[in-house]
Amino acid sequence: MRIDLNSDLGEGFGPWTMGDDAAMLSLVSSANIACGGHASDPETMLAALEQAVARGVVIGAHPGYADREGFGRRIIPMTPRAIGAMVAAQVGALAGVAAIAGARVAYVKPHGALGNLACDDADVARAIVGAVAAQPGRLAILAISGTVLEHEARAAGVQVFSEIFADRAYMPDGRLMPRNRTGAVLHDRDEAVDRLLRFLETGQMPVAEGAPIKLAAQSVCVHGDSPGAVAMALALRDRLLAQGVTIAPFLDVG
Amino acid sequence: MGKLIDLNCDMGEGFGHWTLGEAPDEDLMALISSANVAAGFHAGDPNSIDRVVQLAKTYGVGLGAHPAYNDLQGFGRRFIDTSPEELVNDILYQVGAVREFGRRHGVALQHIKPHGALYMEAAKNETLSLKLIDTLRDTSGDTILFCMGVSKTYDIARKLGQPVVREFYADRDYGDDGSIVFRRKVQRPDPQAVADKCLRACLENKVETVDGKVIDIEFESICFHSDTPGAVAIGQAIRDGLTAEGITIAPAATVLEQTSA
Repeated sequence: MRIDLNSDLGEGFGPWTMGDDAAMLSLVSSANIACGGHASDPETMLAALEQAVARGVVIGAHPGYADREGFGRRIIPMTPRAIGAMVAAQVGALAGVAAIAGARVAYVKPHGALGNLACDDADVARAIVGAVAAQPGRLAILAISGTVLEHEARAAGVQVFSEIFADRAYMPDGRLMPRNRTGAVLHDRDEAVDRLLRFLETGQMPVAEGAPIKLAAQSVCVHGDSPGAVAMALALRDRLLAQGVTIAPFLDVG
Repeated sequence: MGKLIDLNCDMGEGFGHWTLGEAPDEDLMALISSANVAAGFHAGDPNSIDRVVQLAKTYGVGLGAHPAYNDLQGFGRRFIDTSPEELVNDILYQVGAVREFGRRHGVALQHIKPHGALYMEAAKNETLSLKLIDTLRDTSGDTILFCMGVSKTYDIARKLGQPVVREFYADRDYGDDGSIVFRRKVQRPDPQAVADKCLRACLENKVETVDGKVIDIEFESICFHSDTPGAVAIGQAIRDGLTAEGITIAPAATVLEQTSA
């Protein structure tokens, strides 16, 4: 069995830092690096890219709403055309800085509110897919499993990979249970890892009500934005390795 | 009444979801007597200003505006070459923001302390200091201006009659000329050493420079920084050290009242 672990990185800005990038880079195989929209700036991008290169981690762009105050977690009403231009500008910015770091951007994963909207809104999803498809280098998209974004990327012939969350409950339709519902987040670390291991063996994900469902996933999203989250990700990695699971990027960038 | 000294600290220097340093604002607020509130140009946003102003009120801490160059990414630590007119407008804009949140919570603005590179530029730029203080005479005649003792800002404030407070830098090094040595990365200082340095400065008006020389220093307020590693322990050590010697920590306005009495 093999699986990718991905995490959001480089989400500082100017003098401010967010999360423990060094710790997360030691345990993930793919890094979603902020591009100056919801977080980061050219120097922060360069530092994150250099660290990712040093660890041999595959690099993805992590564009978000240009809303630093809200950390890209608020929906900003924008036309699909404007969203496409924003995503292109941010991916291009990261690719430009990556050239200095000797790195290559291999995929795109939309952040926060933009990513959530792309799960359901076909216009937004198409705008993102169109912007990514137009970039040089045949970039892939990393989407939440079972979403409109995944579907639209596939329909447009863009290479798409799916991610799941180790610590989130799933609904019978394959979607994540909304955070505001009881039981949406699995707080027990062992329970979360047990569930993930069973999923990796069977491809079947237990859901809130009813029988387990089939989900596709090439990557597991882990978080490093709190000491507890880092500990959770480390425990997850250790258990996976102990079970003989190989942790490797979903993209072979050679 | 024994000797009074103000203890000030920069506060609210996060931005959006980001925080600065490891020290909780509330822990620091319990130790200090004046707070310099970041006003959105180098750090801070409307929500942080609102929160810190309320904390200042709760702890009876003197409220100050901490205006800076308009440079979030550089945290106001980079010199930006622009006209004194533009800089004075930048300062007024930021002072107005903090003052309005003070009005909301019933706290008067006690002081203004320019931040970082702007503070250092005003210290040596006579035109800027003059234009700023000239404007403050009209808009904020009772508001105390914080500055370095060896600065154009201090000289002009005294000359024009603006209330002014000189600072002693607990967690920065001094040059032989009595100005601070500006540095971007500050190591984790020993709280007791910092406290001893402050106590000596208060009792003997002396400080040792980076080159080992001992110089005279005069001040009404001690400044330490919330993002210096171990800030809470440093603030506590300063407070304990001064209090043990009978020195009372009081807001800058109270210190000035005693000085002028």
